[in-house]
Amino acid sequence: MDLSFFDGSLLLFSVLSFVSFGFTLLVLFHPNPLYAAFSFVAWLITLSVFYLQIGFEYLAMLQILIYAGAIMVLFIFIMMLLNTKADRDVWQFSLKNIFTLLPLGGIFWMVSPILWNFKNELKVFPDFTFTELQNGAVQEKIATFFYEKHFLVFESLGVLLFVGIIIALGLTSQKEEKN
Amino acid sequence: MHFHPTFVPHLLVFSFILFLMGLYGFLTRRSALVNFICLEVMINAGNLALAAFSYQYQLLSGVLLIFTLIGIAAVEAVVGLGLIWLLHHKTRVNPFSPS
Repeated sequence: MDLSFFDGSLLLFSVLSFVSFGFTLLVLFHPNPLYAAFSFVAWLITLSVFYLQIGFEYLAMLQILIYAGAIMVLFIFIMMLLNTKADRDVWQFSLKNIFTLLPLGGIFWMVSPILWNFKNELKVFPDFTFTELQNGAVQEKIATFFYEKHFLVFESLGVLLFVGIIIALGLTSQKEEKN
Repeated sequence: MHFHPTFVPHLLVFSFILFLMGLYGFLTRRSALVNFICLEVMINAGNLALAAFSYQYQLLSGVLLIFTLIGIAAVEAVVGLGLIWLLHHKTRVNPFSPS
Protein backbone atom coordinates (compact mmCIF):
# COMPACT_ATOMS: atom_id res chain seq x y z
CA MET A 1 0.00 0.00 0.00
CA ASP A 2 1.39 3.35 -1.04
CA LEU A 3 1.42 5.67 1.93
CA SER A 4 3.98 8.09 0.57
CA PHE A 5 1.51 10.97 0.34
CA PHE A 6 1.07 11.15 4.14
CA ASP A 7 3.77 13.80 4.40
CA GLY A 8 1.66 16.69 5.65
CA SER A 9 0.24 17.51 2.24
CA LEU A 10 -2.93 15.57 3.08
CA LEU A 11 -3.38 17.75 6.17
CA LEU A 12 -2.72 20.85 4.09
CA PHE A 13 -5.21 19.72 1.46
CA SER A 14 -7.88 19.08 4.13
CA VAL A 15 -7.37 22.43 5.84
CA LEU A 16 -7.39 24.29 2.52
CA SER A 17 -10.54 22.48 1.40
CA PHE A 18 -12.38 23.33 4.62
CA VAL A 19 -11.33 26.98 4.45
CA SER A 20 -12.35 27.09 0.80
CA PHE A 21 -15.76 25.52 1.50
CA GLY A 22 -16.26 28.00 4.34
CA PHE A 23 -15.62 30.98 2.07
CA THR A 24 -17.87 29.51 -0.65
CA LEU A 25 -20.69 29.10 1.89
CA LEU A 26 -20.20 32.74 2.90
CA VAL A 27 -20.45 33.75 -0.77
CA LEU A 28 -23.66 31.76 -1.17
CA PHE A 29 -25.44 32.63 2.06
CA HIS A 30 -24.24 36.02 3.28
CA PRO A 31 -27.16 38.47 3.02
CA ASN A 32 -24.93 41.44 2.19
CA PRO A 33 -23.50 41.20 -1.37
CA LEU A 34 -20.49 43.32 -0.39
CA TYR A 35 -19.39 40.80 2.24
CA ALA A 36 -20.09 38.01 -0.24
CA ALA A 37 -17.73 39.71 -2.69
CA PHE A 38 -15.01 40.04 -0.04
CA SER A 39 -15.45 36.34 0.84
CA PHE A 40 -15.08 35.57 -2.86
CA VAL A 41 -11.75 37.42 -2.90
CA ALA A 42 -10.57 35.32 0.07
CA TRP A 43 -11.81 32.18 -1.70
CA LEU A 44 -9.80 33.11 -4.80
CA ILE A 45 -6.68 33.43 -2.66
CA THR A 46 -7.21 29.92 -1.21
CA LEU A 47 -7.71 28.63 -4.75
CA SER A 48 -4.41 30.17 -5.79
CA VAL A 49 -2.76 28.25 -2.93
CA PHE A 50 -4.13 25.08 -4.58
CA TYR A 51 -2.46 26.11 -7.84
CA LEU A 52 0.76 26.76 -5.93
CA GLN A 53 0.59 23.31 -4.36
CA ILE A 54 0.31 21.53 -7.70
CA GLY A 55 3.26 23.50 -9.03
CA PHE A 56 1.61 26.10 -11.26
CA GLU A 57 3.00 29.24 -9.64
CA TYR A 58 2.29 31.26 -12.78
CA LEU A 59 -1.42 30.46 -12.57
CA ALA A 60 -1.53 31.30 -8.87
CA MET A 61 -0.01 34.69 -9.59
CA LEU A 62 -2.47 35.34 -12.42
CA GLN A 63 -5.37 34.29 -10.21
CA ILE A 64 -4.47 36.86 -7.58
CA LEU A 65 -3.53 39.62 -10.03
CA ILE A 66 -6.43 39.33 -12.46
CA TYR A 67 -9.28 37.85 -10.46
CA ALA A 68 -8.75 39.13 -6.94
CA GLY A 69 -6.97 42.29 -8.05
CA ALA A 70 -8.82 43.47 -11.13
CA ILE A 71 -12.20 41.78 -11.64
CA MET A 72 -13.30 41.78 -8.01
CA VAL A 73 -12.18 45.37 -7.46
CA LEU A 74 -14.41 46.31 -10.41
CA PHE A 75 -17.31 44.39 -8.81
CA ILE A 76 -16.80 46.04 -5.42
CA PHE A 77 -16.43 49.48 -7.02
CA ILE A 78 -19.76 49.10 -8.87
CA MET A 79 -21.45 47.75 -5.72
CA MET A 80 -20.31 50.71 -3.67
CA LEU A 81 -21.31 53.10 -6.46
CA LEU A 82 -24.84 51.69 -6.58
CA ASN A 83 -25.16 51.44 -2.78
CA THR A 84 -26.23 47.81 -2.43
CA LYS A 85 -28.64 46.60 0.21
CA ALA A 86 -28.84 43.29 2.03
CA ASP A 87 -30.73 40.43 0.39
CA ARG A 88 -33.32 39.40 2.98
CA ASP A 89 -34.59 36.29 1.22
CA VAL A 90 -31.24 34.55 1.18
CA TRP A 91 -31.94 32.06 3.96
CA GLN A 92 -35.07 30.67 2.36
CA PHE A 93 -34.12 27.09 1.75
CA SER A 94 -35.81 25.23 -1.08
CA LEU A 95 -35.67 21.46 -1.54
CA LYS A 96 -36.64 21.94 -5.19
CA ASN A 97 -33.23 23.43 -5.96
CA ILE A 98 -31.41 20.57 -4.24
CA PHE A 99 -33.37 18.10 -6.38
CA THR A 100 -32.27 20.03 -9.47
CA LEU A 101 -28.66 19.31 -8.56
CA LEU A 102 -29.15 15.58 -7.97
CA PRO A 103 -29.31 14.54 -11.67
CA LEU A 104 -26.07 16.46 -12.29
CA GLY A 105 -24.38 14.57 -9.45
CA GLY A 106 -25.67 11.29 -10.88
CA ILE A 107 -24.26 12.10 -14.33
CA PHE A 108 -20.89 12.91 -12.78
CA TRP A 109 -20.96 9.65 -10.80
CA MET A 110 -21.58 7.67 -13.99
CA VAL A 111 -19.12 9.54 -16.22
CA SER A 112 -16.18 9.86 -13.79
CA PRO A 113 -14.96 6.19 -14.02
CA ILE A 114 -14.98 6.50 -17.82
CA LEU A 115 -12.96 9.71 -17.62
CA TRP A 116 -10.63 8.18 -15.07
CA ASN A 117 -9.97 5.05 -17.16
CA PHE A 118 -9.49 7.22 -20.23
CA LYS A 119 -5.90 7.93 -19.21
CA ASN A 120 -4.96 4.27 -19.74
CA GLU A 121 -6.14 4.39 -23.35
CA LEU A 122 -4.85 7.83 -24.20
CA LYS A 123 -1.35 8.15 -25.60
CA VAL A 124 -0.07 11.35 -24.07
CA PHE A 125 3.23 13.00 -24.89
CA PRO A 126 4.03 14.96 -21.73
CA ASP A 127 5.16 18.58 -21.94
CA PHE A 128 6.93 18.46 -18.57
CA THR A 129 8.03 16.04 -15.88
CA PHE A 130 7.18 16.03 -12.18
CA THR A 131 10.82 16.79 -11.37
CA GLU A 132 10.61 19.97 -13.45
CA LEU A 133 7.41 20.84 -11.65
CA GLN A 134 9.11 20.37 -8.28
CA ASN A 135 12.13 22.54 -9.01
CA GLY A 136 10.23 25.30 -10.84
CA ALA A 137 11.71 24.66 -14.29
CA VAL A 138 8.21 24.29 -15.70
CA GLN A 139 7.68 28.07 -15.64
CA GLU A 140 10.15 28.50 -18.49
CA LYS A 141 8.34 25.80 -20.44
CA ILE A 142 5.01 27.57 -19.84
CA ALA A 143 6.51 30.79 -21.21
CA THR A 144 7.79 29.02 -24.33
CA PHE A 145 4.50 27.17 -24.76
CA PHE A 146 2.41 30.33 -24.44
CA TYR A 147 4.46 33.00 -26.14
CA GLU A 148 5.95 30.98 -29.00
CA LYS A 149 3.80 27.97 -29.75
CA HIS A 150 0.36 29.46 -29.07
CA PHE A 151 0.97 33.13 -29.72
CA LEU A 152 -2.28 33.53 -31.67
CA VAL A 153 -4.34 32.64 -28.58
CA PHE A 154 -2.83 35.62 -26.81
CA GLU A 155 -3.40 37.86 -29.77
CA SER A 156 -7.09 36.87 -29.92
CA LEU A 157 -7.44 37.37 -26.15
CA GLY A 158 -6.06 40.88 -26.54
CA VAL A 159 -8.55 41.62 -29.32
CA LEU A 160 -11.36 40.20 -27.15
CA LEU A 161 -10.39 42.43 -24.22
CA PHE A 162 -10.22 45.45 -26.53
CA VAL A 163 -13.70 44.70 -27.91
CA GLY A 164 -14.96 44.27 -24.33
CA ILE A 165 -13.62 47.70 -23.38
CA ILE A 166 -15.27 49.30 -26.43
CA ILE A 167 -18.62 47.62 -25.61
CA ALA A 168 -18.42 48.74 -21.97
CA LEU A 169 -17.59 52.30 -23.04
CA GLY A 170 -20.50 52.28 -25.48
CA LEU A 171 -22.86 51.01 -22.80
CA THR A 172 -21.84 53.41 -20.07
CA SER A 173 -21.41 56.61 -22.06
CA GLN A 174 -24.98 56.84 -23.33
CA LYS A 175 -26.71 60.13 -22.67
CA GLU A 176 -29.67 60.31 -20.34
CA GLU A 177 -33.04 60.57 -22.09
CA LYS A 178 -35.11 63.69 -21.36
CA ASN A 179 -38.65 62.93 -20.29
CA MET B 1 5.86 21.00 -0.47
CA HIS B 2 3.78 19.99 -3.48
CA PHE B 3 0.72 17.77 -3.60
CA HIS B 4 1.36 14.15 -4.46
CA PRO B 5 -0.06 13.03 -7.87
CA THR B 6 -2.48 10.79 -5.97
CA PHE B 7 -4.35 13.96 -4.97
CA VAL B 8 -5.78 14.46 -8.44
CA PRO B 9 -9.07 12.58 -7.75
CA HIS B 10 -9.43 14.59 -4.52
CA LEU B 11 -8.99 17.79 -6.51
CA LEU B 12 -11.55 16.70 -9.10
CA VAL B 13 -14.18 15.84 -6.49
CA PHE B 14 -13.41 19.09 -4.67
CA SER B 15 -13.86 21.12 -7.85
CA PHE B 16 -17.09 19.29 -8.67
CA ILE B 17 -18.53 20.11 -5.22
CA LEU B 18 -17.49 23.74 -5.70
CA PHE B 19 -19.21 23.76 -9.10
CA LEU B 20 -22.41 22.40 -7.56
CA MET B 21 -22.26 25.02 -4.79
CA GLY B 22 -21.91 27.75 -7.41
CA LEU B 23 -24.84 26.34 -9.35
CA TYR B 24 -26.96 26.19 -6.20
CA GLY B 25 -26.17 29.84 -5.46
CA PHE B 26 -26.96 30.82 -9.04
CA LEU B 27 -30.35 29.13 -8.81
CA THR B 28 -31.34 30.39 -5.39
CA ARG B 29 -30.00 33.94 -5.01
CA ARG B 30 -32.02 36.77 -6.51
CA SER B 31 -29.41 39.51 -6.41
CA ALA B 32 -27.84 40.03 -9.84
CA LEU B 33 -24.38 40.59 -8.43
CA VAL B 34 -24.31 37.43 -6.31
CA ASN B 35 -25.53 35.52 -9.37
CA PHE B 36 -22.52 36.94 -11.19
CA ILE B 37 -20.18 35.88 -8.38
CA CYS B 38 -21.71 32.37 -8.39
CA LEU B 39 -20.96 32.17 -12.13
CA GLU B 40 -17.36 33.07 -11.31
CA VAL B 41 -17.31 30.31 -8.66
CA MET B 42 -18.41 27.82 -11.34
CA ILE B 43 -15.77 29.05 -13.81
CA ASN B 44 -13.06 28.76 -11.16
CA ALA B 45 -14.19 25.25 -10.18
CA GLY B 46 -13.82 24.27 -13.85
CA ASN B 47 -10.40 25.92 -13.90
CA LEU B 48 -9.30 23.85 -10.91
CA ALA B 49 -10.44 20.63 -12.63
CA LEU B 50 -8.51 21.66 -15.76
CA ALA B 51 -5.40 22.31 -13.66
CA ALA B 52 -5.77 18.90 -12.00
CA PHE B 53 -6.03 17.15 -15.38
CA SER B 54 -3.10 19.17 -16.70
CA TYR B 55 -1.07 18.07 -13.67
CA GLN B 56 -2.03 14.44 -14.11
CA TYR B 57 -1.31 14.18 -17.83
CA GLN B 58 1.69 16.54 -17.56
CA LEU B 59 0.33 18.72 -20.36
CA LEU B 60 0.40 22.49 -20.63
CA SER B 61 -2.76 22.74 -22.76
CA GLY B 62 -4.89 22.86 -19.61
CA VAL B 63 -2.91 25.82 -18.28
CA LEU B 64 -3.37 27.62 -21.60
CA LEU B 65 -7.12 26.97 -21.43
CA ILE B 66 -7.26 28.31 -17.87
CA PHE B 67 -5.50 31.48 -18.95
CA THR B 68 -7.96 31.90 -21.83
CA LEU B 69 -10.89 31.36 -19.45
CA ILE B 70 -9.55 33.97 -17.03
CA GLY B 71 -9.39 36.46 -19.93
CA ILE B 72 -12.92 35.59 -21.05
CA ALA B 73 -14.17 35.95 -17.45
CA ALA B 74 -12.60 39.42 -17.32
CA VAL B 75 -14.38 40.46 -20.52
CA GLU B 76 -17.64 38.96 -19.23
CA ALA B 77 -17.35 40.92 -15.99
CA VAL B 78 -16.67 44.19 -17.82
CA VAL B 79 -19.58 43.79 -20.26
CA GLY B 80 -21.97 42.41 -17.59
CA LEU B 81 -21.25 45.20 -15.14
CA GLY B 82 -21.60 47.73 -17.97
CA LEU B 83 -25.05 46.30 -18.74
CA ILE B 84 -26.05 46.47 -15.06
CA TRP B 85 -24.84 50.07 -14.88
CA LEU B 86 -26.88 50.90 -18.00
CA LEU B 87 -29.94 49.25 -16.49
CA HIS B 88 -29.49 51.30 -13.33
CA HIS B 89 -29.02 54.46 -15.36
CA LYS B 90 -32.15 53.93 -17.47
CA THR B 91 -34.59 52.60 -14.90
CA ARG B 92 -33.15 53.94 -11.61
CA VAL B 93 -33.67 50.45 -10.18
CA ASN B 94 -30.81 48.90 -8.25
CA PRO B 95 -30.33 45.51 -9.93
CA PHE B 96 -28.02 44.31 -7.16
CA SER B 97 -30.75 44.41 -4.56
CA PRO B 98 -33.87 42.28 -5.12
CA SER B 99 -37.13 44.21 -5.41
